[in-house]
Amino acid sequence: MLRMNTSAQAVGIDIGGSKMAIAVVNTAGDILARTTLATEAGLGFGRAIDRLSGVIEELRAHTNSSSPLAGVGIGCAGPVDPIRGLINNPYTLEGWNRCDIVTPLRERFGVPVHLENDADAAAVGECFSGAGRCFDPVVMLTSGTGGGGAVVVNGRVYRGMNGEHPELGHIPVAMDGPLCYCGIRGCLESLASGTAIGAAGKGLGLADARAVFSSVASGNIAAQSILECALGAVASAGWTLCHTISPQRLILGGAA
Amino acid sequence: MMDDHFRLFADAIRARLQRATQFTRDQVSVVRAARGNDAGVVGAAAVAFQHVESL
Repeated sequence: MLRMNTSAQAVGIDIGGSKMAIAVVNTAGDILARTTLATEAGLGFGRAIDRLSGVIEELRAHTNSSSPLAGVGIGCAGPVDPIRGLINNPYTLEGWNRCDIVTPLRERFGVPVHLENDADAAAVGECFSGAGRCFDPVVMLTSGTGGGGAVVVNGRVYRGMNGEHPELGHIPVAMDGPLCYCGIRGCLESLASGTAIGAAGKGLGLADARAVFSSVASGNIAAQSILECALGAVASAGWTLCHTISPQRLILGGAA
Repeated sequence: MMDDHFRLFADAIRARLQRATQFTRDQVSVVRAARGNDAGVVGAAAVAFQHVESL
């Protein structure tokens, strides 16, 4: 453990399939400097490390770089292995399998570096300086292209065996629902994610989830049925989580 | 999450929870994320801070 002072800064990195957000953050959760890079995973993991390192140095130079750097945290689209610092996600980050992101950044900047699943990082962010601050425990559900979430207890991400996080997006909510890649029918993601709503909407000639929402607003009964199915799924997931975790706050986030 | 969408999802959960008899339903609040797209980078930085001993 290091000793931190109030002027300390940390670098946060949020890695997604299309872009990487990088920010210098203070202990109050204020963003002091930020930028975004295209991920371009297919061009190589080593290249991404070089680009991230260069940007971190630039951002630190734009802030009061005499402030101590407490560390670097990375939230990355999973699967990730936070214990070993490995990104194991060739699915949305082409070629990034068993990629150690912690060691090169630690050696470059001489500070501790930690890796988290991106949903877990977002939940910690909300608990650090957002809707979950001063509440405990907190459950966050996210809905976007996929669906997921995180459980934060005493400010820390709840983990299961091997450091794995609960896959809240795959809670079963309707046993007769669509078959999901997770292995069962009718999980939350298969019914309430943007992808799921959009897929159901295609049967009505609607382009995507946004089109479904728009059609509901203009009185389309069939689109309303898709939405009600999604809302029922979210309500069931909320019910299950409240009965298993007893959260003080249930935070809803994402791009839906 | 957009305002309208949040309201739909939150109201669905709140309505379901009104039926609950086995936990203190009035003490759980369903709220919208406050940090939006910043939550990821702020949370990643917070993870770094968490590994540093408090003041």
